[in-house]
Amino acid sequence: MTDSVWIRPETEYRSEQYFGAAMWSRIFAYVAVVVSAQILRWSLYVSHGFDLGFYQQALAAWVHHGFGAQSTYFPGNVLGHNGAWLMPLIAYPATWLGTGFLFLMESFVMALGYIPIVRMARLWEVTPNQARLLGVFYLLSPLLIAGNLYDFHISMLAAPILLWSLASAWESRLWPFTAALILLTGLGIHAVLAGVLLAAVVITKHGLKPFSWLALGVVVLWIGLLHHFLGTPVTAGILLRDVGVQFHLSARSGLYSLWVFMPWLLWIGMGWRHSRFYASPYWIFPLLDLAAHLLSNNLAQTSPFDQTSALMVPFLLWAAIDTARHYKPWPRSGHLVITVALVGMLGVMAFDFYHSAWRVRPHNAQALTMAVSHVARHHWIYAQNNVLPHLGMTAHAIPLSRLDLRHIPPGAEILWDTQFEGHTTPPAVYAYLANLVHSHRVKIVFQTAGVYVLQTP
Amino acid sequence: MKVSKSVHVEESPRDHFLGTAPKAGTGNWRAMRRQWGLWAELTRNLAVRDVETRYKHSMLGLYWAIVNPLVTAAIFGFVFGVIFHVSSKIPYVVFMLTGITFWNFFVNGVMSAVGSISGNAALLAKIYFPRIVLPTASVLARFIDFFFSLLVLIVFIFIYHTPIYWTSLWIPVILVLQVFFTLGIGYLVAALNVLYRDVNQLMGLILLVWMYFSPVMYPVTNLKPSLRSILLMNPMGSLLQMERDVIFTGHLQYPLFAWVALAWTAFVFLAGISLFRRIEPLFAEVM
Repeated sequence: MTDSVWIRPETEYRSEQYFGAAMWSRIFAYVAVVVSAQILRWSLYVSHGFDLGFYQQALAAWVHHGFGAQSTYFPGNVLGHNGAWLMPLIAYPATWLGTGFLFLMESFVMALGYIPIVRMARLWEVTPNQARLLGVFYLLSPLLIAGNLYDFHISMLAAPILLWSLASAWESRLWPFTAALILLTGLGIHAVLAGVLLAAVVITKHGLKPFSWLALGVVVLWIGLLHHFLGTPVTAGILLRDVGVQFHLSARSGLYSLWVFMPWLLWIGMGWRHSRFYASPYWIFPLLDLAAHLLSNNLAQTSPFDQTSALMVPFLLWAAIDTARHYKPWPRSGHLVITVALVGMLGVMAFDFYHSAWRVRPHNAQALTMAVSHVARHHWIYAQNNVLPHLGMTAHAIPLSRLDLRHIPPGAEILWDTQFEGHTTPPAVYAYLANLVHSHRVKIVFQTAGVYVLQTP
Repeated sequence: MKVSKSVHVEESPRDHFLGTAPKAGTGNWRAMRRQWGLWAELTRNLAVRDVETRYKHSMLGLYWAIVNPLVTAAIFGFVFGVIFHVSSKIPYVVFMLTGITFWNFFVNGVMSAVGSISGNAALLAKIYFPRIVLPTASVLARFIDFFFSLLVLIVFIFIYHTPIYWTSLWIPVILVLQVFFTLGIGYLVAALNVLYRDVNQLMGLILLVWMYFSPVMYPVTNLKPSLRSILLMNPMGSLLQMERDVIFTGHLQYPLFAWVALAWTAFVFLAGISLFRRIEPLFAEVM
């Protein structure tokens, strides 16, 4: 008998040989699925102008009219609307590479949040299986996916950056932490407010040292600049201006809210199983965030699937990781329950894709596509919320809800789908358009299946 | 019992000619580069061997690479162009041949990769080298067939006086994406085929269904937007559409779907490597 001379590789080196492909494959699985869903929604006219369209318009406005550009969506300066100074930096690549670039960038940056979770979990000696599960918990969080699927929101990018800065703060790495914090200030007012919480985290960990002062200083300085020079409504994002607590109740919001409470349920469950309770001090941060979220006087912010909810996720996970390390190891049944919950949430989101309370899918997508091809891009174009993102990177698009019936610019075009009624356009505008079509005051450029392109003389 | 060993047992596997990579982060970049260079050379040699053994004892030799796409295009062109009257903006034969050329590169790559590990059991038993080199070489070897098919396509484009655009220069970029996608699928099926030999048969069926769900033989421009979106969500469908667009229309008709193809390609490539890495330690036991 002859022994084989096959040389067994040193298995500990195989990871280096394959450059962490398993982790990156999970990250790109998320990117591939979410980008596909985003583009499918876009192609079926489910994307909204007040989400994706606003950013497209803002980017085009900066390229054509400079940083002082005025918004055609909201009154006032584009930059002042949300105070996201990182937006102008992506204006040129986005106008060149198109809407798909925005989708891919958002999903990829969101998915990168998986890395700091695994790093923090490893640092706190949580088992690799638990770390992976927590990472997947982050990726599949409906709060993130809902915000991510709903077109494009610059503030969503704050979630992974918050995780990176939390990991850096815990490792006492000053420069990565400061860089993450500066990036955070560029992602809109809600991200800056989350930065205040982050500064509180640093003070909790390190006390009032130069490290913490620097963190706090950066955030406070930027809030001051936003408030005084750009006129950003800083305080509107916090809470209780007129004590108008509003709850948006539906089966969907119930299920999504359950996700917010799930880490707490997990904590109670683990305490019950181990017959000892460990109350992580880090629960205070998501609680503060939750309070600001629920008690806001802005209806959109109280809904559990608003993009600002996403900023709660890093703090929730941070507390969950801290809890996990005190209850290690989890039983196999615990893993099973979490996996079933994750798969269940995917089912809910798939269902939501078809039966969304907020997003109505138009029936005549083909006619809309033909109508969009008849629109001249150099004129002012008024269109419904779901059509605006299809007008591309143009500074000339205006939501139909802002149609001033007393003064419509000459040569302006109106793209109107008579079978679609968005919640954002007042009935008076629709009534006016119905009269306009039957009068001879406008030129009908295109008309098919109840979709019109009208042009004013 | 006679024990023969061509390599001293005291020798560290890492010192061996094609051993595992030096650990990253140790500052040993030169050694790592040398190691990667050796693996690249091995991949090239295996790819050349693959092409040579395939055509060595056949009468037509490399001409088979031309005959295959010609016959396929003739059959499909007759069925869909003459019998079913499928219309397209460019001559249907050219349209069809373009689809077939790029699709065949994918199919041939995947089908070669399936048996690349199980068919080289003797080689695997002799020496250690990263097993991923084998499916990589199998896929890259299909470039020779692809090159000849491309020549046939160019000839047909000239015969039918079909206008082409300068944007055709983007083809290599799109082809790189397609190669990575093919490699990803190739790694998956090559590793799985070691454990379950049904994969070889199954892939034949899957690829047949996949072809009909990709715009190989029909244009997507006339389809309903919802159906078109679903077909272009398929990364191969999107890649084929991009390849046709840059050659015959001068711009991407559905640029948004290029991002879908990019995202899925990255995922499939990494998932392929990841699964291969998981199954790799079992190769020696199973074979």
